[in-house]
This record gives sequence, C-alpha cells and structure tokens, in this order.
Amino acid sequence: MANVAEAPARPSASFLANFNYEKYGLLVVFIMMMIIFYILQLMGYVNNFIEAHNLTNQLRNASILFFIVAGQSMVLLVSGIDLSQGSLLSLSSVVMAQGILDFGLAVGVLMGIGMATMFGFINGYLVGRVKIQPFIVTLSMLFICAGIALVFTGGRTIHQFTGEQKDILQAIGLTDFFHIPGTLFIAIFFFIILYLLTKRTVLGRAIYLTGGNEEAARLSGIDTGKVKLICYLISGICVGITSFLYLARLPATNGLAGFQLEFQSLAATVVGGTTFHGGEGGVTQAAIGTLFLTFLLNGLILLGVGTFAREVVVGVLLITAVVLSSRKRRE
Amino acid sequence: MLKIDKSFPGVHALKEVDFDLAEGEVHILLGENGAGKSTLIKILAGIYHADSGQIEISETPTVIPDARTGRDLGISVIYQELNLVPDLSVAKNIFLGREPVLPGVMRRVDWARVEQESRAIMERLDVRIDVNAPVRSLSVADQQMVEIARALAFDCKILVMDEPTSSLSGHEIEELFKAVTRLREHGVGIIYISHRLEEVHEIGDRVTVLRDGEYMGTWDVKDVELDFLITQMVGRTLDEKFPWTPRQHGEVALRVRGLTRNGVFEDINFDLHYGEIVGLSGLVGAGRTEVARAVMGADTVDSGTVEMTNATKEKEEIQKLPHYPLWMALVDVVVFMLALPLFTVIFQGIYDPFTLNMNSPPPLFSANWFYEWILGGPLYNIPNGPTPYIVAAGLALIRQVGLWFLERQYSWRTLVIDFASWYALAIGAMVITSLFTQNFVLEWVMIWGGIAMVAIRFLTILTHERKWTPTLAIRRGLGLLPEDRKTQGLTQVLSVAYNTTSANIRRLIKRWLLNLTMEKDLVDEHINQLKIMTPDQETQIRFLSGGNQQKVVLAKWLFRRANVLIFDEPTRGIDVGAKFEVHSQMLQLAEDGAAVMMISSELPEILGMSDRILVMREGRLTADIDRNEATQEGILRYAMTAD
Repeated sequence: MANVAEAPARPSASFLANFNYEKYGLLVVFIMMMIIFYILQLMGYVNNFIEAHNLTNQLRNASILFFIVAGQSMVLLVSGIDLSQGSLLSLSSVVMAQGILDFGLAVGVLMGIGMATMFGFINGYLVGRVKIQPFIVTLSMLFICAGIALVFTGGRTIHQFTGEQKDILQAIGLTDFFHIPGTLFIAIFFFIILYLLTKRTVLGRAIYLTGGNEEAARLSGIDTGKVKLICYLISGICVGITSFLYLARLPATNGLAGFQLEFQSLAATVVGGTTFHGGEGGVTQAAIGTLFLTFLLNGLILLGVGTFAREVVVGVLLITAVVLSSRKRRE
Repeated sequence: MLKIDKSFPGVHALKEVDFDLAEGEVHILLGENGAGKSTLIKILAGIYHADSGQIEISETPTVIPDARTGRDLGISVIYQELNLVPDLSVAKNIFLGREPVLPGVMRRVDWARVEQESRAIMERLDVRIDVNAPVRSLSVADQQMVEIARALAFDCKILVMDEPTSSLSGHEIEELFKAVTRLREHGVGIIYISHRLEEVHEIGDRVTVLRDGEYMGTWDVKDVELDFLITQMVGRTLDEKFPWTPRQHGEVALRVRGLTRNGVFEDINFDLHYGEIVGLSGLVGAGRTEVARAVMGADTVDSGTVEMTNATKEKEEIQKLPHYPLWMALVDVVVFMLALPLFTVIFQGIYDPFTLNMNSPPPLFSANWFYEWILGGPLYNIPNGPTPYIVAAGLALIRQVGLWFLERQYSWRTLVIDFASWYALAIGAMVITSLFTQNFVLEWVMIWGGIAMVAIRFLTILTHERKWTPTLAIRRGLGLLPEDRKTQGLTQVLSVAYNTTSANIRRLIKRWLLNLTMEKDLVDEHINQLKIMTPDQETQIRFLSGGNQQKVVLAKWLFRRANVLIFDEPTRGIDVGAKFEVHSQMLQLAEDGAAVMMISSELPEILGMSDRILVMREGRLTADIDRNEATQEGILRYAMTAD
C-alpha cells in the first residue's frame, strides 16, 4: 500500500467506479427486478406481488431454501458439487417424521438431522479421503438416499402427528412477527454463523485456499482432504435443518419431499456468484442468489408464466450467470 | 542459418548465431541451460521467428512461417516428450495427419498402403517393430524409433533430436545410435542435442557450442577434447553483482539420508546447516525439483529419511508405521458385534428380536443367523445385565491401549476421539437400522455393514503410512518456494493478504476468531519489507507481475517464520529489480540464522549466492563443492559427465 501512497487520490464522485460489481452486482439486479415487478403490478399485469402476505410467504420460502444453498456454496467453494441434497432431504425428512411419531419430537428431529449429517460425512469422506470425483460420489448418493427414502415410506405420506406435535412444529415454521416470518430469523442467525466461519476462522481460510488452488493449499500445510470433508459435512447439516423447517411448515412428508431440490440450490448458488472453479463466492452470494431466485420465480408465477416456461427462464439465467463469471475470469 | 538473432522480453536469447549442417552428418549442439539451443531449434522448426538473420536450405534463402511449412521443407523435430497417440497402432502413428487416401469421393484412407509403407520404413531403419501393435505396448526406446520412422515418412532431410538418450538405458542407446548411423548413411542431416558429453565422440561428426545465446564456434569432433568443450560452454560473464558476505554456520538444520524415488532420484544425502546457503545445481531434468518436493513431503518417496533438527529436537522420519495388526482388527470386529446386543439392550423398545418369526429358521446372514451360528446362541440369550457393557468396554480398552503402544505418536486425545467416534458410528448405525424393524434386508446391512466398516478401517490403516507431509514439514519450520509459483505457490484468484497468511493462518487468531486488523498490519509490514508492488492487499494475485508474485510467496514463508527454506528457481522469469530483492532477502534470511537451499539453472547465480554447491546429474548427487573451489567448468563437468 505504501508504494502507491504517492498516487493521486481517486476522484471523490466515484461511487460507481468503486462499486464492487463482482460482489454486489446481483443485489442491484435484484432491486431492479423488484422495481420492474412493482411497475408491472401498478400497470395491472401482476397481482399481489408487493403485498404483505406474498412477501412474507416468499421470505419464508427463501429463508428455508437458504440453508441448502449455503450448504451447496460451501461445497462449491472447495470446487466440489453436492447432487445428493434433494434426495438426502427426502430421506432425512421421512426419518425425522417417523422418529417424531415413534419417539417424540426432540428425538425425531435429532435423528433426522443426524441422518443428514451422517450422509454428509460419508460424501465428504469419499471425496476428501478416498479421493473419488465429487460428481460421482454425490450422484450415487442421490440414488442411494432417494431409494432408501422410498423403501422406508413405501410411497406413503407420513402425517399422523398428534395435535400437540403439529402445534409446536407450526409454531416454529409458520409464526410471523409483524409479517416477518420466524424462519427468517433462524436463517439470519445461521447466516451470521456461516459468515464468521468462512471469513473469520482458520477453517474458512482453508476452504477458500483449497478451492482456489488445491496444490498450493497443500504446500501451505493445509489438509485439503479434511477441509473438503468438513464442507460436505456442513452441506449435510444444512440439508438436515432444511428438512426440519420443511416439516415445520407443513407437518407432512413423503419419500419425494426434496425431489430435484439440488438443482434449485445449485441454480441459486451459481446465480449468486459462487463459481464451479472454487475459491470464489461465499455465504453472502448464497443469500443474494436465494432471494433473487425465489422472488423471480414467484414474480413469474404471478405474471402467469407456466411451470415449464419458468424452467426455461432458470436455465437461461444459469447460462447467463456462468458466462458473466467466466468472462470476469478471463479478464 | 546465418546471424540468427532473437530476443524475448528481458532476454536476448540468440545473438547472431551461425549454424550449418551438411547432408549426412551428425552435428552436435552443446550448451548449458538457457544457452539458446531450444530457441535455435524452434526457429528452425518454424515455431519461433527470428528477429533478424536468414535460413538457407540447399543454398536457397527460405522463410519458415509455421511448423507445418517446416515439416513440408523436410525438417523434423523429435522432442524429449514423445508426441505419439498411445492407443493407435505404430503404422497409424507414423502416418498420422497425412494418411494416403483412396481415389473417390469418400476419401477413404488407404490402410493397406499405410501398413505397407510403415513396414518399408522400419526395414530401412532395420528395426523389428510390429507396425500393427499399439504404441502403448512399446518400450520408450521403440517409441523413439517410431518417432524417427515418422520423421522418415515425412521424407525429412533435417532431423533434430532433442536429448534422445535421456530416458534410455545402455543397450537402447546403442540401438538408437545404430539407427542414427543408418540415417546418416541415407544422407539425412541430424542435429543432435545432448547433455551427455561422452556421446559427442561416440556419435558426432561436428560440434557447435552456444553460450548465453552467443555462437562460440564449430569444430570437428576429432579435433576437440571434452575439457575444451566445457571451457567453451561456461564462462558466462559474471556481470551481475551478488551482495554475498561470509557468514557463520550453525548446527545441522535438515538432514536428508538415502532419499530415493525409483526412476527419478536415488540415494540423495546432504546436510543443511543454519545460516548456510547451499546451491543445488545440475541440468534441467536432473531431478532437483523432485528432490525439493520430496524433502517438503509433497511427493512420496520409496525410501530414505528427512530429519529436521529444529528447536523441538523431535525426529520425524519418513517411515512406515507399524501396521494395524490383524489381532487388533479381530478385536474390533468382536467389539462391534458385542456392541450390537448392547444396543439392543439399550433400544429394547425399538428393536425386539422376539418379533422375528422363530418358527422358520433365521434367514441367512440375518442378525439371528449371525448370533446363532457365530456367537453360538440367539440374541435373547445375551444377559440383560451389566456384563455386555463391561465386556465390550474392556475389549475396547484393550484395543485403545494396544493402539497406543503400537503408535506412540497417537496422543491420548486422539485415542479418546477414536474410541468415541467408533461407538458413535455404531450407535448411529443402530438407530437407523432400528427404524426398519423386521426388515431382513436392512438387518443384513446392519450386520455386514458393521463388518465392512471394520474392514475398511483395517484396510485404510494397513495402507496408511505416517508420511512426511507438507503439513508436518511446515510445522517443523520448512518452507518451499516452488518452481512453478503460479500453480503451486499461490492461489491466483485470492488476494495478496489471503496468500501471504496462508501458511500460518493460526497466527491471526485472537479471541477465537481471526483478527482482520492484525492481518492487515502484518501483511502491510511484509509488503513494505519486500517492496511488493501492489495497489492494495485486497488485489488478486493474478493481477501482479511475476516478480511480485514471487515476493508474495517469499512473504508467505516470512509470515510463517520458516527457518529452513528451499528456493526452487527463485529468479526465473522475473525482472532484475525483483531478482536483486529476492537475492538480498535470501542473504538476510541466512544472516538471521535460517538455512537456505537454492536450486538454480543459472551458474552465475549459483556461484554468486552459495556457500556450498551440490551438483546433481541424472537423479544422483555427484558433487559437494565449497564456494572457494567452485568454478563453472567444475560444476558443469559434474553435471554433464559420468565419472
């Protein structure tokens, strides 16, 4: 820094020049999108978009989705990928539900989250220690978890909770404070923890270094296998928490609860700005990506765009995000 | 080739070099690392373009704009790394890219002709290689023959061979020389680059020496002695100034004994003292970088030890740990099996063996089958008292104590964690499977999964060696500035600050979290100390110049306070200012008592900076010379000739 101290000070009116587009560009896009939808609403094309009930619901969706997106981000940061999230969510939620039925609320929830954690550990062990391609490992785990979940339920929906259990679950999942969903507070709390973990701990540094250049990280004395293992483990825990929140919102689940959810989480992560190369992105990007994707999809629904057409939009969005990030890389 | 001149940014690679080659001669091109041999060859092949000068082929001035034109003119180059497609047959490789086609619209390849002509070429070379065999199945020597055959198929008049014998054994070299002789008889002119001076008299007709991009002369091989050639090669001007001063050397910092990696380096022994700078010289490909990486623990070795005698005085050696013994694995299996009924007792409400239909025989490999046939009684005979707890705990204790005796470096904490994780896993498996009451498939999974778990652990410990890893080496105070700093030393997409602190992140911890203010101050300190030119410490590494990147790598180890440092080609490709900075830092480090090892291909740098010089040749240490006795000729003789 001292070497450029002589350089002339930057012009004062350069907020736009100093603005970190890489990090917060999407936030701007997000705000613009909200404004556009609002204008459309004023023009009468969209119904009830900027409206307390809808916003509350979408924030609840986003805060629940945020957990798996954060988990996916951690895995992407070490240049991995976790395809098993969706089916692991199914599995952990049915185990959780059955556990609640059999042993009561607390034990059941712990069992479900423990289940997801264990599978996260297995993923991480296979990737980090046995050194198998993350794509292969998590793809296999996708099938394994989906299979177990379906065998376990036999295709049935588990919903036979007692009235008291339902009340407690919904108190966690559906309570609002002045139109702000309770789950948002949980998500914010979790966000702060993950933010501190990635930015202010040795492990967080190790995650970025491992993802950025594994060989250099290894030569700097970082146990890269362990770091990867922990990232997959975190992803597993995130899935466990998400499955709990899903169950809390709607006290019923089946073997297909998280069907293809991994694609949504991947989409939100990549749109947020975490790249597949690893070492770039983070929890903040995950949060912005989640908000963006949730509100975009919601806006499109209210605009009357069909389910299939929405998938086209998501696809186009993904390609755009990747093209932008790769262009940034080439510069 | 007349007055060929070529400059790269910062380097004058060739200074008006003349070179001529007659038909049917073997012309040997000599020079030390970076003398400009490869550049000259690449200009001839059309890969580089000369800044000035002229190339004449058969006395007609020629321009070679690209590699294809060069090939069409009859110039073939065989590089050190062979360019063959391993899965295609020999014949297909020889005609790769210009297969003869049959007449017709389809342009089908005339495979019959390919095979036939390949055979003819092989006969011309008088080698016996099956032209239909895939190249993968051939030895390196035979693959080289295929390369030569390919050159012949191009109808080449000029064949360039870049260190063809570097990966061949004695017998194979003879075969190669026979082929070369035959080519010479056919009138092909051969430019032969080699680092083995013995070969000059064996195969060469004439010899040309390049030094530092300058043409030193061409002689008939018959007229020159090897010593004369060596004196011609060295004598690079020592115009650079090195701020070297004599220093006091301390105790041994790093002791390497018998380090061997098969086929790469063999029986490397040396000591490194505190306060000493040792230069490791040798030709490119002699195995210097590989030795440095092995010392760092980045690559595995086949045998040998690295010992660091730093403040802790603790000896860490590369060695195999005592194996996880068979009896320990058996104890593990038994403990696990006994733990199962233990858990059935705990979870009796969940997992009730009585619900199984006992009228029919227990299904094969089910839990009851297991208990009945292996343990000698059904599950319900296990006493419902404290006995199983005590037995399981006792066996587990035996296991942990045994482990501790076998592997002393296991701390008690590791053992407790091992113990706990073992049982946590068992409980987890139990809880999950208990959900699937009466499901025989999952019962099967439970039992045999447990055994598989033990088996996997058994296998991993069996194959696990207590390796000398970078983590361990860094903990002992070792630091490596790798040759390829872009991909091995730094993370390009992360900031200067992240990279600087990467080898010792723990140093930033204050009250549980990393203290970013402290990081900023410390990194600024290093940036100023090393005069790293960067806009700020948040700048990504990839925006920095090569010299500044190298300084960041150095800053990383200074931040780590490493006291044994290995610099691998520290000044390659960086500008003069940064070079001087790196040199003075290196000397300052030694002054402060660090042990420094410097690998360099530049003899002046080696001579100017080192207190002691080690020379490697083809994977072996051939010399250990004191600074006062070292000369360029001496080093080069050890690096190039076998004694």
